[in-house]
Amino acid sequence: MIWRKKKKLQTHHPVSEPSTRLEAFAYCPVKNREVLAEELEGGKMVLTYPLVIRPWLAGITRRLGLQSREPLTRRLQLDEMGSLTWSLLDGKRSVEDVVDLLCRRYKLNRREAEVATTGFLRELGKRGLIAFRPPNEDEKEKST
Amino acid sequence: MNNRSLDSWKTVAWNGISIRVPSQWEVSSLAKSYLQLDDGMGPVLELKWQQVKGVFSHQDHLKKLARHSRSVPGLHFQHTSLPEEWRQVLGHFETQCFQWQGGEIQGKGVVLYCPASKQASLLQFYQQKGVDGSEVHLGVLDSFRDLCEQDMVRWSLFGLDALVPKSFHLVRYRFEPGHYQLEFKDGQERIDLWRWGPADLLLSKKDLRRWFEKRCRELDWCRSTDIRDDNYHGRPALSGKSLGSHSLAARLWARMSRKFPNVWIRIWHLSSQNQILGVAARSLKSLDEHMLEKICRNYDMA
Repeated sequence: MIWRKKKKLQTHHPVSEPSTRLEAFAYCPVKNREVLAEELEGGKMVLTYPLVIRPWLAGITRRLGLQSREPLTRRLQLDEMGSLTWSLLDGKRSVEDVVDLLCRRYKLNRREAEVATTGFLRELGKRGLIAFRPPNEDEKEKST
Repeated sequence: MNNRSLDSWKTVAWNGISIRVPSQWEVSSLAKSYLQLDDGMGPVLELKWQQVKGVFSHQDHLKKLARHSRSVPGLHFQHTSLPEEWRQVLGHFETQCFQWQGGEIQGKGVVLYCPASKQASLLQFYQQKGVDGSEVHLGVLDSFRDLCEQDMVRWSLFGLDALVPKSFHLVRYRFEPGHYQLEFKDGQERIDLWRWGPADLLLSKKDLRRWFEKRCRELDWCRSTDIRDDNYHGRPALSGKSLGSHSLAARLWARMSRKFPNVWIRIWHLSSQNQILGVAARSLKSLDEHMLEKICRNYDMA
């Protein structure tokens, strides 16, 4: 069959995905080391992060000689709440801790803070600005 | 039921029904006549309700539920008799009880019909097998009220608490992080309840007026009002109203151009809750300011 659907490669995922909401909230967001955070006046932040180009697009630009030598970057300006949330990500605090802190700081309804925080972290994750570490990963690291 | 534990419960009121639930339960799914609550682990309570125009039959509804359950593999549905303690707290309703089991989860529910208000409601509790939630379920059922008989209907959800005249029906609602909105309609008259937050972020480096003028660009119909700084019960506020002409030609033009000539707005900063609340009304006819003042008085954040 010419149009046979390609089989997906079986990849081994060493990190297990959370199966429940509570488990997901115990994960710790960890910042990408390549992201540069710059603080503006008024406490707002701008994040500069390297842009990852898809390999096929990178191939085309290379062949056409359009690829610049300097790595491509993008900037993301955060509002005050986003900036505060970013500053709270220290690799030790879990998503739940961040939600708790925002609830207390802004007197937010718990569910509202959860929706806002998880939406924001999801956006950061999509852009590769953060990753999520499972809660027991720290203990594993210590024991090894 | 332990009174002390009930004190920490909260009220959820939506479109004519009201219940009290444990404080950790939160609404996870919402429609005009539907609520689902979860406790952080999964769904715990589901409610549906509607006004019945003709004769209400419990049997028909249970048959419908049984038929629906047959389409779900591994689900066993059965009618049961109403437990005695449930009967005591649901005395003024006509009731029919049911339960189902499927996998690790089981459910128990009741179909209620109030002959006075002609409102039928369905409540069902979800629970893990082997977990006894009977005391909590009894407390929730005891607190269940359909508010069809009252002049003002309570709306209490996600910390918002408001009373709106019964004649106004919910048209639209929005619960997004940072912004809640409920829009009601009674004929040609509309009422909006707003909540914005966190106020200290929204009002950083600008006052309420400047912030609302920016926000007002999205609310086209607010522009006709002469917004002025005000003080509402000691809180910084904005008030404004525009009164349309009562001439026949003006009313006809308003109707044709779909512009509401009568607009009334009040926005106030609730600093204790770090929120900004707003009540606005628009109509082709003149507005009842006493009613709007009453809505403002009863609008608060928990």
